[in-house]
Amino acid sequence: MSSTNNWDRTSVVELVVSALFVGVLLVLAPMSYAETSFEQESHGSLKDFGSGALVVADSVVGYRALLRLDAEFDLVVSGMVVQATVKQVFVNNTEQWLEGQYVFPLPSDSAVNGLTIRLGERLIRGEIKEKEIARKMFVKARNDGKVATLVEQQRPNLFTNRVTNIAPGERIEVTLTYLQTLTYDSGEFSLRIPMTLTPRYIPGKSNASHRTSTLQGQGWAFNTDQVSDANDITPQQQNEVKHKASVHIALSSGFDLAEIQAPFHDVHTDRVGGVYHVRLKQPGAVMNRDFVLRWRPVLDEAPVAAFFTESVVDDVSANIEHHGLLMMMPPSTTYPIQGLPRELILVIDTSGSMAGTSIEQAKQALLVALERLTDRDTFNVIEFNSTTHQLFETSVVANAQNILAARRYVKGLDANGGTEMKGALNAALSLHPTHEMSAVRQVVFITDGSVGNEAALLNLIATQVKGSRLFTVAIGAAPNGYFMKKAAQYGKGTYTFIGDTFEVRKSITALFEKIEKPMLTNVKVKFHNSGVTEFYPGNIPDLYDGEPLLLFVQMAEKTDTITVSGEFEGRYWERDIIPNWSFDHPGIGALWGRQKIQALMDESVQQGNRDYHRKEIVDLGLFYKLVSRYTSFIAVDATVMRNNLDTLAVHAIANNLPQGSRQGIPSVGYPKTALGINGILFMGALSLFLGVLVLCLKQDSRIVRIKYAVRRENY
Amino acid sequence: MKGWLNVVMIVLILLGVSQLGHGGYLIIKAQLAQIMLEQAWAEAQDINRDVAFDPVKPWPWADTSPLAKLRFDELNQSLIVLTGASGRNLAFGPAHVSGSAVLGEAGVSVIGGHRDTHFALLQHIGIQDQLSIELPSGEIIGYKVTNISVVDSRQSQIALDADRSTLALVACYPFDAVEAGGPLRFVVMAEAIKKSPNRLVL
Repeated sequence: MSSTNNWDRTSVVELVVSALFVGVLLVLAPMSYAETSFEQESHGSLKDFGSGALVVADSVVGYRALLRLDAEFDLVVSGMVVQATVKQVFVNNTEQWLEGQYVFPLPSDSAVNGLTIRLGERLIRGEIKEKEIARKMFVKARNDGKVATLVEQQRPNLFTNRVTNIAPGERIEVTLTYLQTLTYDSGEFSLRIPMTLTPRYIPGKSNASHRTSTLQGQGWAFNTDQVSDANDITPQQQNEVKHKASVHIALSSGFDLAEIQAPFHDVHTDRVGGVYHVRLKQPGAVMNRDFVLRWRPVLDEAPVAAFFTESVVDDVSANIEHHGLLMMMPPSTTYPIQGLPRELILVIDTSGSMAGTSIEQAKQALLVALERLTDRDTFNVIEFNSTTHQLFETSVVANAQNILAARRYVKGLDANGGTEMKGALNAALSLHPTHEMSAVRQVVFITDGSVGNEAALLNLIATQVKGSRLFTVAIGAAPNGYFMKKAAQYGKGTYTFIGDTFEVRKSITALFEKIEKPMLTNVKVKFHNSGVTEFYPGNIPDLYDGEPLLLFVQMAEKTDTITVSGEFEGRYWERDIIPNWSFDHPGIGALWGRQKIQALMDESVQQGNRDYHRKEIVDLGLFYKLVSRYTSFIAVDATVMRNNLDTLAVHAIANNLPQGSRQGIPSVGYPKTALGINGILFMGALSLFLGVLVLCLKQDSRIVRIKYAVRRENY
Repeated sequence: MKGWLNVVMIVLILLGVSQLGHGGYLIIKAQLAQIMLEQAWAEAQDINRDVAFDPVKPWPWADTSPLAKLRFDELNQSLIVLTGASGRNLAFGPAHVSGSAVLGEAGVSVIGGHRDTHFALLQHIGIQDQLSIELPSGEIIGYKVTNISVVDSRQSQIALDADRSTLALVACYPFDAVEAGGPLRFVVMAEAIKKSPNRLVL
């Protein structure tokens, strides 16, 4: 036997052995995973559920769509006001009595002012009640076995609807009405119907033994929308379970439209007289996307100012209250934009929390901002982490040389250290301007807002801001939106959120286009009437180009003239508006009430006591029939439907924000939560093992050869 | 032939040692950080210190501070929760997502943790288990686990509305996945046991 043959044999053994070991390793790795998931069997095998599944303590619930929900939106637009009717249809597909809980979003300025439920032939009108009273009525109706609906506000833009005692196979229609104002910006009107019902995680109440009510098998319906998006679900199920919506909008704008479009849905538009009717091309759109409608008047018909009125009689005092909604466009320059010279302070957060994509986005945002400076402007760049550092001693002229220095500085920034925002805010707001006082001072503050001392910082902004304007730009996956919005509000500026690297240029450009143009500052509104006049917002903000003033007014006596004045391009400016009292616009009074409630709530937050204005808000809610933090709508049927022997199960109808949505429901993204240590250790062990294996086999090949020789000798 | 094998062998062994070392470093870092955080936590409990205005730094260059102590009664374990759930902070301990509700206030407070270090213990939690949060003020809030679920982070977000203080403990899922960066998240929801006053729970 030649030695080459021997080597061939051992190399075959070597290959087989190593292949076996690798195989064993690969089999072992998933086995360790299987073992741990076996332990989880006690509360359901999580492995089986995959994405979107919810696990509840008692598994009575099963994983079907227990409650189906469809919605019909019917909107009437007149002037600046939208009167909306939403019909939510609850269908119980099960054999048991159900209570459905549905959390739904509405536009954040919406005023919910009506509720009715339809049960077969019966129509039950809802009443507005103080929240606690409404809750007690609801619980009583539930225990009595009567159909009841309770609509509550969770957040200004988030509401819950509970419908109890839905019989097996029953269908219940809940109709809500709400009011909102249109968005009008740069000559374009728009409205948004938030209707997203894609997966959302709702914190739930599962079966809890400490509850004394007769509720059994209480749990959460699995959001079948979520499951339907998982890989292993059949299409039939998808069609079966998606929530559907239909939309009809009647638009009586009072002017001819140059353009009308729904960017996310296919719609068709009919014109009947002066009213445009917009409907979905295919009724029953899946509710996974907000409906947005935009329209533009033909150029010379674009409204410049309007005053919509409504007179409301107070039943108790028999007084007549006059309400108005003032809409007025700021003046705009006709010659090429040559706004006032500006001082621009760019502040960037370079703390450790910004590490990764956040700092890259922030740097890109700064570079875009630097591009937009002209040599009439002065600027400075401030960086802060544990300490604050400013590029120039004082603001400098934005000439080519200084901008080049700033670009270099920005490109070299790196995220590290703590978030000491106080120093940066102090530096940005208190630096003395170096040139003529008429310059506009704008501070653009780019951060993820991950600070713990919010209250102290907001206080600092409120006292230091003076003539400056603070524009906050939020960056990163989960910035502290509350803090950033409040900071902008106290800083008399605006808040911009950039969620995606692709949006940096677009968002920053839009922000700068707005703040570069001359604006109407120091705005004052004078009503030529006697008696008390109360309007919201109380502090009238600066008006940027293309953005109208919207003022909600209540007055004891009618006024025949309204004068709006302000400063524009350094000069005094004023305009008179003559109201037309002959025509009532329903809902203007309720919208005023909604604005006043918002103002009172804001003030309560500033006072540090959320219930500071509780009494006044309750009164406003009851008077204008508005759902608020302290007032809810309740509708209770007179007939007992369910007897006490039948149990009632409570289910939540889950819904969600799809990623990238901008409607501002309070929610956050999930943090990234794995280091991949297993992977690292596995790769390490595998390479080490293979290395040692090669070493051993090299040694062994000699032994094998000897053994082989010995065996041959024995035969 | 043999020389080539030698090179492969040396490369494999070196690679193995460095990877194991890196993995070990991550584990040791996670454990050591909790010890340093315990010290910072003791400091934060000083009644003369208002941590909202003057946060305690566990180490001088830290971009975070201890926010609360999270106890798992059934598992007999506790962890220090940090502020700000950035990737950097999560290496040291579970952290509170700054946009979510303030701990102890009505609403959902989201706490993220690495599935392969601190929050590996989440897989042993059961419904009805008790948790508690200790705030720097010494106040202790008890919670009970109400839901355990697996969600796809690409398709959903965590809603923050809740009538009472609620914790959402989030870790990546599956716990034993070899690769990091998967889309699934393991979410444990726990509600405060004590009812807030003036709130009727339905």
